Amino acid sequence: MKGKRLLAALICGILSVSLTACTGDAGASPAVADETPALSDAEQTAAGGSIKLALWDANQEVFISPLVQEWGEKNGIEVSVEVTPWEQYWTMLEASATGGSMPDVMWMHSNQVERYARNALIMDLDSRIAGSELVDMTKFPEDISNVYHFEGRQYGIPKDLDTMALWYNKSMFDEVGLDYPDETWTWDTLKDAARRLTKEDGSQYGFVHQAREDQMGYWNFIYQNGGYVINADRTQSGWADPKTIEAMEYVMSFFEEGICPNATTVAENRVETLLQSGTVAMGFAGSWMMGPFQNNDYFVENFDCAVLPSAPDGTRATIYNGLGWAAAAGTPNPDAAWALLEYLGGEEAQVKLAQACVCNISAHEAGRGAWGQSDERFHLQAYVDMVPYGIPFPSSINTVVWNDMQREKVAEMLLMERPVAEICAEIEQEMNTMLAAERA
Amino acid sequence: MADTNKRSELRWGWLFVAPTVIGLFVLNIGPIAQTIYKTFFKTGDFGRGNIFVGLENYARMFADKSVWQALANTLIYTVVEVPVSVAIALVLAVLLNRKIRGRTVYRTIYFTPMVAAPAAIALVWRWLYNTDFGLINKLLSGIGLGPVSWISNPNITIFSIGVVGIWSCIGYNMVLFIAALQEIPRDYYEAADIDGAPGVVQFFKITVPLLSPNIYFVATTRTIAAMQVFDLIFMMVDKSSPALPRTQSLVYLFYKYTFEQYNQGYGSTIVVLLLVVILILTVIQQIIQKKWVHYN
Repeated sequence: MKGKRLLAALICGILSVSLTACTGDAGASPAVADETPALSDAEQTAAGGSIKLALWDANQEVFISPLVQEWGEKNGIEVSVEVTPWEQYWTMLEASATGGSMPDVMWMHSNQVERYARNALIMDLDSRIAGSELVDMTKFPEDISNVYHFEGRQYGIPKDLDTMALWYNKSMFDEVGLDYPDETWTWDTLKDAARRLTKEDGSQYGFVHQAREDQMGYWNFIYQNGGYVINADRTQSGWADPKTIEAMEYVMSFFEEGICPNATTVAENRVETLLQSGTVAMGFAGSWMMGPFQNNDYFVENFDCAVLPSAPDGTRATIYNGLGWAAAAGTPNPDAAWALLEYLGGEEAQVKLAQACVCNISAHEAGRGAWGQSDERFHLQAYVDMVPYGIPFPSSINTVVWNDMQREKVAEMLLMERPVAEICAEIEQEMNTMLAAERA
Repeated sequence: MADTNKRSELRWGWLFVAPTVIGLFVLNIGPIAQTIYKTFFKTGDFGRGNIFVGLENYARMFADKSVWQALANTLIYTVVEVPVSVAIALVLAVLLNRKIRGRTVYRTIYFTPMVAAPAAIALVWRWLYNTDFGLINKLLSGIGLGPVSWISNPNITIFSIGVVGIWSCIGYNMVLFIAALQEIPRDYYEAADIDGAPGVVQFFKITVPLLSPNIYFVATTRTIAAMQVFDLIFMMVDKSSPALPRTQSLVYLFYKYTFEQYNQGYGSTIVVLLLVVILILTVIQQIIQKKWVHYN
């Protein structure tokens, strides 16, 4: 009897504590927001309150958390970092935006930013940037800042930028006596090398293409060849452009010659798996993939990277993109959120994160060199060297919709059952319908 | 006096069923109504500014080949999963209802997949099935059979998924059958023994008829669950897999449109189709059961 009563009391206690904890949290922040004046320099004013920061990469969280926590302690703001994997991140953010409980500060992506900006869910930063001493938008590549620019207003501060490089297995090159890839490589050199690196028994392939990887794969070839995925005002698909089709035919020739693992293998295994298992000698990879690369002993021992091969006419191109730091428009603590954003967009934080290799090339020009040197085992400068040849990530209002369709069609293309041009034409047609629906 | 008694009884009755009824309305019937309502709208961003479009979503769905393919996929999965898992579970239940050595151990082993998280199961099977690095193909190559693309060949992927579905629900079905088997009086079997009926005959003439209400129950609930298959496909088949169009289920499409493309209107329309199909299947099962289920 006594024991039961004790248990009941205990449960009541726990319940009431958790209840007050919830209300305490929610109640505290608006009060702070009311009394704080706009603060221009985070170092001087203590904003107080708490900030929730959302991102999707656990590898980067390891470096970002200490940085923002240190900043928070200096400024009397409690910063909590929440990681949601990319696959669920946007579902989470959509739900929290619909429910009115968005994280205060978050990572934004070119695929999604327009929907959030158009619905005024993320903060318009124009006036705050204008009055800021820390954030200088001229230090970022214009293409990347423009990603977060909507109807003349800035909704995000560039966090990083990513380019592609060609990774190759040195041991496999040594085995057949091939010279390592360098800036002289073209499509022809790439294919020749892939042929020589492929073993007859199917235990080793020269190169890997995937249906999953547009940004990290066939999009690069399309733009190198002078084709395009979407036009500049984002109203028209370029999939049936002869140059685009030609690039896809080049991609498909790897499958036809059997110098790339077949459609089923590339559907079941990611590029990094195929490289790290020694199945494939060469592959493109984005600069955000350093986490998995650095942590694999076989990879570290055998691999290095070089700039992407150029098209037969010498044209260089890489898809490049960059994440943005954005703040929720409805945050109860806008000044603290901006102060954090301002810090993260400033030179100090950008350089610090660039030095931690896995946090990607800094958007801020001051951090580029630091990133190129951030892991001496690899020639990471190749990524930085590709920046001038960057092509902005093809996107529209509802990028995901045509992206899904494109991926399914390319997956079908890899089966080699239908002509490349026919599938390209279908993609163009469906994509145009989807783009028209976006603006309806 | 009697009248007030009855009234107070009635009040208590309502009070007792209230938690369930309220739960049913708030958690099931309400959302169903809301879902149907949504099918008439073009969803605006973040649930704002929905535009009434009448039957446009339905028109699009009826013209959408991938929806009908997904319905076919879902039905194939159900036809594979339900009968096979019920049959295996029934046989296992009969075997494990006897006094054999290690009976509890076997029962536990068969029930374990039910306890494991579906996502974890799917992830493990995904690697077992892997064409190049999977254990199954390694074993097959040991006996000289070529690699099979279990989860990327469009022709067989739905069956590979079905196998995992069967494997994970056998234990649960089996436990339901074992419980029912223990209700069957021993006298029937003793009488059959005296008449000299062999085991197989006893199984079909005694066990199956007396178990038929339970078989019907399991088959109906499993069908409903199988029609809603999602997690195994989502976890095991990559989005870029050439097998996806011929493997994705209706719920998979619902998820894709609702949560990945934020088109709740169209997603809801697909799930309403699923609801209707499940209703029809259940009604058919209910009509047929009159012919083979024995209640006594």
